[in-house]
Amino acid sequence: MPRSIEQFLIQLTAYAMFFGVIFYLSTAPAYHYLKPGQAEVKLAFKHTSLREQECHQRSAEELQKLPPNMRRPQDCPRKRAPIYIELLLDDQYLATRTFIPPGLSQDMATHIFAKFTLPAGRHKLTVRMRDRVRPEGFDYVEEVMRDWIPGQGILISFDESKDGFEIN
Amino acid sequence: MDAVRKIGNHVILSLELWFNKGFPHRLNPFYHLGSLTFFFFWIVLVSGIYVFIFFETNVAGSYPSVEYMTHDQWWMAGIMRSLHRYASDAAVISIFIHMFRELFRDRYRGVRWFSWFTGVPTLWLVVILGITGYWLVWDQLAQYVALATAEMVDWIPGIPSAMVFNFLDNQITDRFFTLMAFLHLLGLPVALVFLLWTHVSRISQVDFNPPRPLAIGAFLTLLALSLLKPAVSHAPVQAGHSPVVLNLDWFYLNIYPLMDKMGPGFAWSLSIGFTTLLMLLPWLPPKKEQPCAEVELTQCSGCGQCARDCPYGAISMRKRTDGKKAEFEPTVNPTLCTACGICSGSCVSSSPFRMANATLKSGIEMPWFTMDALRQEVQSKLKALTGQGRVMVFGCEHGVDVTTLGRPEVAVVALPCSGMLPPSMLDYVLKNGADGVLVTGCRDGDCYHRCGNTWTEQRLAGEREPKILKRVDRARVVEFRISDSSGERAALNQRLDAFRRSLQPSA
Repeated sequence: MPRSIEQFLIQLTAYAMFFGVIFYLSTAPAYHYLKPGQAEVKLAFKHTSLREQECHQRSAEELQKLPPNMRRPQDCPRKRAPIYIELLLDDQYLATRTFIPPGLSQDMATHIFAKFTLPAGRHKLTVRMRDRVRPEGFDYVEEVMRDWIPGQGILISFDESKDGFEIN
Repeated sequence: MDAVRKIGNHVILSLELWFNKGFPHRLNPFYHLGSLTFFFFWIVLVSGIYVFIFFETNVAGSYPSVEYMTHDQWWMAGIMRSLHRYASDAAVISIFIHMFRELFRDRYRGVRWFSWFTGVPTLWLVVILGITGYWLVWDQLAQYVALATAEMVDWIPGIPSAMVFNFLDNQITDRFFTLMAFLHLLGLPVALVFLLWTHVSRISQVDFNPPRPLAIGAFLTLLALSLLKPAVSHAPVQAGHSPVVLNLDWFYLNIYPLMDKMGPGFAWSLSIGFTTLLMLLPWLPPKKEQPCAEVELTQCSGCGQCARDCPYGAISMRKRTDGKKAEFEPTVNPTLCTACGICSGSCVSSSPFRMANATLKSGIEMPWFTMDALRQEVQSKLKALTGQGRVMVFGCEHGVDVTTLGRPEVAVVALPCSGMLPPSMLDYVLKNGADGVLVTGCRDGDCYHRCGNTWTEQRLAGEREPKILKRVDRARVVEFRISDSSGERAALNQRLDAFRRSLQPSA
């Protein structure tokens, strides 16, 4: 127990500081994950891109050069093409990303995850993806025109069964 | 590093000086940060057990059950929830002050590296424990934390699948939720207890409980917080919505906004880099320590007082090896000995009255500062004393620099710790020309060597072996302990002057 006014005041101040620091920092300052009037797009799906090179049919001469236990008729390089994705809002670039397939030979399915923000309101959202080696053009394109509301979480996924994008 | 430590030490000591005015009699919270942290963990444990009674460990039931506690049973479960949260926050505060204080006071290097090194991983465990706790409420904050954590985990190279897919659009399963609950309720707490046990395993006389007035004050503060600002949840998770404004607990969740801004790679680099730097600090640079204590069996009675007094548990007793009647002998573990000299001060054979015409040998000695060397230093300084009110000052290397007190009437002897001073030395000094003895050193409750000043105080009060002899005139012995802060140095001078004025010349 404090034995003087000075001790009492110092103890009171010390406990008030302890109280104040926890009181404030336990919930403040508020973190604005999205700015007012923003919605969030999450690009999230798993996709296997095509091989970088087509399988090559080995000739009899080529097969002869191989050890007997490795004489498979086709030579299929394992490496898969990078996945290139573009996101457009009202035909203006919102973001572009390239995803390299994982694995030592870069031959595994790619888990794609990326986050973007866009202004709420009525906009055309376009997503397009190239999953094979080619200089231009896209293998998959999806676009929707919707009213996006502030704080909306828009999920862009890829439905393998329908072989196309889904925007929800 | 020295400059950083000096500046930090100055700041810490200045703060403590102010706290010492308000929290006298060893109640300064700065001196009890470790035990206060344990106390906060107790509050977290008890409140957590109560909250768990009403908690539903599944995705659908968790949020409603927490809401029930917060609003319907606010008078008990709600308060317990708030205490659970705020005591966790308080633990982070006490842990960080404790860590930086030990760093600035240079108590983390040399032999003491182990406690520092094992303390750093506890930071990770405490933070992960807090994060998983926020996860369990399964509100919008929990969803944000879960997704952000998954993003960080997925960034680690070599992880084959994407954890983040578990948390998209409220796809979380009860199985995963149960795993999180297991981690928070059992797995991590058990790991934390094990780590904390390791953290304190190389020291003895561990103070697990803070002084009662401090514990009561801290608890009442947390209770007041719980009543004035009850812990509440964010809105429930809503499919198709992202969080906009989050009221983060910055004690635990501070890494996430940084990750949002700079990416998971930066967040990992910062966290791992900071942790690695902390863990390596004891060797940046390493501390040069004196050779450890040595046992002189010919002088040792095997009483075991040195083992009882060693603050680092460096001395243990084993079966006698020299065939003497005594059953045990001390043995020193050099990896634990800081060469503080407290064991020499505790040895009854350190009496300077022994072997008056020969080399004084004690049962346990510092090879670099023997009891004989101390007696010789005392003798030569006593001879040099002149004038009225002659005082011999014994100080320690970690309190105020006593060498500045020297003058013709005042002799000064600096010890590695005031605990090295055998009480019989005071009698010896008073019998050999000094009018008084002033013992100074680290503040009460804040000994650099943990227990040195406490043992000395108890020895001089006749409460601990070796006790001061009853014939010693206590009016001629003064203990005055202050910290090495600029605000207290003048006080030592003033106390010394007042003491000298009160002394009559010895007969």
